[in-house]
Amino acid sequence: MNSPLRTPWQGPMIELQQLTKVFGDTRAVNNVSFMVPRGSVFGYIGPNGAGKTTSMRILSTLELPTSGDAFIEGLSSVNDPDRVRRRLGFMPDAFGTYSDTNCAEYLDFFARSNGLVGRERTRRLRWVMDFTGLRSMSEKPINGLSKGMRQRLCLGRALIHDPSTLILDEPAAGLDPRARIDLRQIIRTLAADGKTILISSHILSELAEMCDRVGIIERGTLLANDTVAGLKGKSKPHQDLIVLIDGDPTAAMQVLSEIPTVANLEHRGQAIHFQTGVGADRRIEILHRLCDARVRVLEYRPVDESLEDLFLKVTTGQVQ
Amino acid sequence: MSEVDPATELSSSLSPQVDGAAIPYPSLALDPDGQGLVGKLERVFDGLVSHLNPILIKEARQSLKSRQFLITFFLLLTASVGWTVIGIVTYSPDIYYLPSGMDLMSGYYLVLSMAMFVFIPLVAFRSLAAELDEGTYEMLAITRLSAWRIVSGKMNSACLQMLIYFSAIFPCLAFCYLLRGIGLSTIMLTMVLVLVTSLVLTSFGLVLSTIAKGRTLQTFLLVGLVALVVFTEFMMSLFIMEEVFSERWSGTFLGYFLPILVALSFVVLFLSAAASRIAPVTENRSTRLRAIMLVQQVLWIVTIVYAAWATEEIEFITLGMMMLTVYWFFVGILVCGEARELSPRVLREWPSTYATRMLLSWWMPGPGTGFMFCLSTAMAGMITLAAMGLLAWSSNVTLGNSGTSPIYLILLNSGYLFGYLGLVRLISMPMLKRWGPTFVPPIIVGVLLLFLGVVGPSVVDVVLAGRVSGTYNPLHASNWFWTWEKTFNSQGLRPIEVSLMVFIVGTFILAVNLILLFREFKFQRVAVPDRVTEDKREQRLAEAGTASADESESVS
Ligand SMILES: Nc1ncnc2c1ncn2[C@@H]1O[C@H](COP(=O)(O)OP(=O)(O)O)[C@@H](O)[C@H]1O
Ligand SMILES: [Mg+2]
Repeated sequence: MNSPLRTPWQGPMIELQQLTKVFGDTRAVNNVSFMVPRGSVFGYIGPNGAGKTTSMRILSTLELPTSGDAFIEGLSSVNDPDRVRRRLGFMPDAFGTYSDTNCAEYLDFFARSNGLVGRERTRRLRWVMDFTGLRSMSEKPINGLSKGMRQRLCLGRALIHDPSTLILDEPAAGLDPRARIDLRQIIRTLAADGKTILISSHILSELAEMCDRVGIIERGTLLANDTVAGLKGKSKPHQDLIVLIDGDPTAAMQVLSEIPTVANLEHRGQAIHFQTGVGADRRIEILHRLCDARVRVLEYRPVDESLEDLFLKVTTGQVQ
Repeated sequence: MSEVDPATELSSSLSPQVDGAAIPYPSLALDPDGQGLVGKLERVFDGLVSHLNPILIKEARQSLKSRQFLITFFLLLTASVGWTVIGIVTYSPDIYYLPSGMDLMSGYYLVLSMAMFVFIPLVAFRSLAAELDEGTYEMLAITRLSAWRIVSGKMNSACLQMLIYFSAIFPCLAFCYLLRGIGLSTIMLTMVLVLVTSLVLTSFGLVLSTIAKGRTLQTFLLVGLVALVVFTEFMMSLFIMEEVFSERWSGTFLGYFLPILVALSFVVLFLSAAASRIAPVTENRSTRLRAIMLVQQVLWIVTIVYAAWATEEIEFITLGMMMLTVYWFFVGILVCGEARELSPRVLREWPSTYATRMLLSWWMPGPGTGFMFCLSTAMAGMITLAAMGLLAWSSNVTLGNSGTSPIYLILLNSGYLFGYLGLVRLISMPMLKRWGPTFVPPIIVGVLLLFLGVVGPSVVDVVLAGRVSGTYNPLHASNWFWTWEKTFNSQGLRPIEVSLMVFIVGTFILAVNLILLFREFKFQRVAVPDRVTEDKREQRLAEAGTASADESESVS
């Protein structure tokens, strides 16, 4: 597909520019801007009704924004929908299917609709069936598929024309744990293959592991746009840290109490808790000081805040 | 293509294996690989099928499995076979020497027309409406299929059904012909009429289905469509039984061909209209429709002139002009509902020089340009018709009862068009400004105005004289119905000054419109973004690349 003549687009693969969509009185999407670079996975997270589906539908050329614009590979979804459609695989949160159709026919139909002919078509069909694991189901009617299988079929449909960009709207909703793990694996593989992916969910932990960045949206407004680690770092001015040491903690306590950035120092057995206001890059200095004082450090780590706590904090406006 | 699949590993974990052996692919995912002549044929066939509309392929596959299709098909077969048996039994043993083809033919016609006029249009309507309703359309929309391909795919599958029904009834028709009593040309004319009517109804059903957003409106439109198809079934049956089967018809080939061509042009118009309705809003959805309407007008004028020439009836000119007025009035109403704001995408093609703007603006989307397009095209049509009429008038062929002179007809008809359409535009403009682009206000205003134009003068009559006047007078100039009826009169419209009056009032309303119209010419051409130009070039290169790759593949 990639002919040597083509120089790939250097800019962001997905870009929202001050996107706003108003339905009657509701501002479903309110001045949202972000970019997703090539080959990365962006998690779009927000509670139900936050405006995720609406912004994804605008990106996928299915809806027009009230103002602002959305771009795929630098092409506007508003003004060049036909060009955008060639590059885009969209998996909606709910999809209707045709009666009296089996999986292979369904995929074949979309392959033909995407202009695939001859060997190219059969090759892509085989690839998609293998990739989504639908080969054994190919002659089964769609209406009889399980939710997980339907999701895979829908993903297969979105992948059939080998798009550079994928937009997946809550693909994990309603899946059992096994299917969820499979899905995660599929998305990782796609990202490794260089696809740019925008994926939404209302559960942060579902996406945390596979996303390079996450955006948190609530009532149409983008509240945060950061890496998961960055979000955690930013969520508190003071980071709680734990040092687990071998032997008597008093020496370590002594060293730590001399460091001006360390506060709220206390210990329980061999575990020392403290807070520090310095960023992650400078926390290593604290560890160096401990090591210099010949304290035997077994473990040095931040106290992990649960992702759900974090999500609640961000969406209730504690962090901006 | 040295593509290393990162998916190979993954797929082995995802796809279940039967005893370590891979599950075979379905035949759809395999290249035709037969040997020899059969294999070659298979490959050629596969290549041909690739060019078919994907929707046609999908729906053909679906309908083979669908119960509904099988039931109708067998009903049709049973009905026609049943009718044959009944026919043979009732006519036996006279059937061997009496020409009884006609009676059998009526039965076959009824069976076929039920399927063609009622069943197929309704199925087409439901098929597209269901796609739009159930969200499957959106998945289609984001593929490379254009709106036109989607609509024509639906039409293609309707045509496939027609073909199947025709082939089911074909042996019966052959039987009919063998029984004598009916001519081959009668059978053929009947079939052509059935086919054309079915095509027009089906394409109209497709337009309706694109308007049907939401359940209530859909139900409402479905009821409307049912009423229309039942009415058509009734009228066509009357016409065919009375006029065609009586075998008293005569005429030239063109006399049949031209009206059929006009009817077929409506199929194209309806399909394009349906495609425009479902195309992305930012696209130019008007120019193609306008071009088709211009072609339709040319076809119509040719038909009318031919009819007037062949029959030496100048009434055809009067009729032709009246129909043009009605047509452009209706089109003009719909055009009023077009969006006032043009997307940057459309503005990229906006004519940029003064000269091209003068010539081409009328073809660009928008209610203002559309209004001017309707009026100028209508005027061109009327003038052409009138010129033809005058030619006949002056050469003084025995056009006997002269009726109304074409000059006055132009004044009258253009006056009506300017006046009524101009008023619709003026009155609906504030509503459209508030509610955005929609067809509803102009249609309602249009219907109300037409009604008031007829009823208004009678009300004045009642107020002044206490009763409705029985004789035509200039007060009734706004009554288009009565005035038109008078133009067909052998004495012509009396007093003829009415046409001048209508023209003056119409022109005045047009002038008011024109003043408001100038504001629509604020549009400026928008530059094509660099990224789009770049993409166009890439696409061309890629297409050239695949073409040469195909060549090298076929050579090797
Ligand atoms: N077609 C529509 N008409 C009116 N309101 C809508 C429409 N689509 C979405 N909304 C509203 O916009 C808001 C955002 O919806 P949505 O984008 O579906 O949220 P999410 O996908 O994050 O759950 C909701 O309040 C929803 O009610
Ligand atoms: Mg949603």
